[in-house]
Amino acid sequence: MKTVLRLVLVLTLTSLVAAAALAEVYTYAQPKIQRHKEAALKRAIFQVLPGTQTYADTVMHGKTVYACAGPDGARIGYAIPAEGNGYQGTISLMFGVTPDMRKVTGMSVLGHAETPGLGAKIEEASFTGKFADLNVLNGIELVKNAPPDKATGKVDAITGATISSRAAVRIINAALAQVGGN
Amino acid sequence: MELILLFIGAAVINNFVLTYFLGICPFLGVSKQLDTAVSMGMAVIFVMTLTAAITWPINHLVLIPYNLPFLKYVAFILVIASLVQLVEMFIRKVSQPLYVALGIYLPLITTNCAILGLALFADLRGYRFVQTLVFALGAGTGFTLALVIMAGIREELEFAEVPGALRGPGITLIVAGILALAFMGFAGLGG
Amino acid sequence: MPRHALPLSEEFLKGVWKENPILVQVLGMCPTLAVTNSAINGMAMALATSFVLINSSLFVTLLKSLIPHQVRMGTYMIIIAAFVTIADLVLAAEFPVISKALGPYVPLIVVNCIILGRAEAFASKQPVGRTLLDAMGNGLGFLMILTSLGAVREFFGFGSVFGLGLLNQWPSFHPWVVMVGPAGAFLTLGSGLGLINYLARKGGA
Repeated sequence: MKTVLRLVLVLTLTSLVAAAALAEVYTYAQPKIQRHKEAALKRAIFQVLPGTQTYADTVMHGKTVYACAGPDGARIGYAIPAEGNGYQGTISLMFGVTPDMRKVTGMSVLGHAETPGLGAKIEEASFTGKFADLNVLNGIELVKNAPPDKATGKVDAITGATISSRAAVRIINAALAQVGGN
Repeated sequence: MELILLFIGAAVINNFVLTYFLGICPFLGVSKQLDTAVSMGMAVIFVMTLTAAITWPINHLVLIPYNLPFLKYVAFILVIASLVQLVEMFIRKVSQPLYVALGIYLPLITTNCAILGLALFADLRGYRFVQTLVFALGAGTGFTLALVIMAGIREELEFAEVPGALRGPGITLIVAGILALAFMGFAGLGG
Repeated sequence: MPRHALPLSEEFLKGVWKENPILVQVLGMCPTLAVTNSAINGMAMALATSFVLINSSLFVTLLKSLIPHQVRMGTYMIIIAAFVTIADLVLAAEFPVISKALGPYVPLIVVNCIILGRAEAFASKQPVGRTLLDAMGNGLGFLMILTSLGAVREFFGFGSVFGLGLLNQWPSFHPWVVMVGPAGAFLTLGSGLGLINYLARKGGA
């Protein structure tokens, strides 16, 4: 019995010391980690909805979005985070829309696991730029081997990365549908 | 339907061994014979599902509500270590020959990155309880799949003339690489 | 089995080459293959792992007389998991970009067989000085392999090394994307192992 007591004691003591040490490190690290997250969020919002001065999170149809206001305090649109399955893993992105949700103002890819050099191109300006000033009628349409048309919401896919491009468009459309855009 | 996709995703499309590199040590160590590989696979599926069933409540009912996320790794690994200990005792009682066949690899399941990886991935992706269980089943099946295929190939390799320098881990890794290439073909199925 | 006391320099060097954790002991494969898609990632991972290895070995050797035999594995795991948590938190706080790149593989250092292996085989039996040398040697060996593997994969997969453009400055270079993915990792390590074994045989025989 004495041995069992000793075993339990050693394990408990070790766990307690470890827990205490970890709590300490956590208190120091957590605020910094939070700051990094907020900085990344801010960067993404400012990128997809240029002209944003302040933003506040709000919930629309069960989805968290960021209501953005310009320098004069007037609502200039919403920054909507969304994610879904890509070709190789989860794609998470942020896109901006005008207050009437009729137009996408920009898109920024926050994280992905797509093929480097191919699907990974969705994070490049050459692709994200297609979403700036894009009219949305019944959702964005991805076209292949056909000219894109910002007025009618057509975006052309990246050569050699159709699936990744399609995934990005699908994710945005799904988010738009959820917040009641169409 | 979503659960079926989750299962197939974990088992085949994003196979834990060939896509995420989890569970390599046993993959290289136990894949020499088909029947040992199958037994190991079964043990892993069992431990994985149980781990999922226990770590989820610990995470969502204790760690998160009490604001103790920094204890996650310690808690998870203790759960896994205890589970493996229990499984070991169970197998020893039920089937001596199986116990001997698995040998040192049984306690090594504790350090099988696939098990901890499973618990962490499920937590990272915020799966609900049932999703976590299905994910675990899929991951374990995928691991077994990779292990069994590898064992089948290695049994054949015994009869081939492998250059001296490549024998052992060298050729095994290259075969694994070709297997990984083959599994890349499944990419994009889930989306 | 009594161990002949190795000269101190040998205690350190053996982990670097002769008993290199990856090449010879074939341990710690998971992170080796997963995060070596670029030189800097491989290096960061190896440094994080070495941090955990050295600290946990240190604590195990200092506390070895206090830890009862039956619960040694559990105690080692708690110590290792604690240091991994520290490494993970510090990385996320100070180097967010690298933390994101290494992702879930940092917590997986907990089950890196090298660390538990050294704790059980060495730190639990040897005095502090030797344990430290052993841990640092193994850490260095791990660092060398991970960084070189990362460099090779980055070179063929992106055309750069440590982010410095090399091959990718050559216009007709099409990166071997497969090198960046899992298949490339397996193939590179397998061929590398083969090459080293071949050279070792030639040199030794």
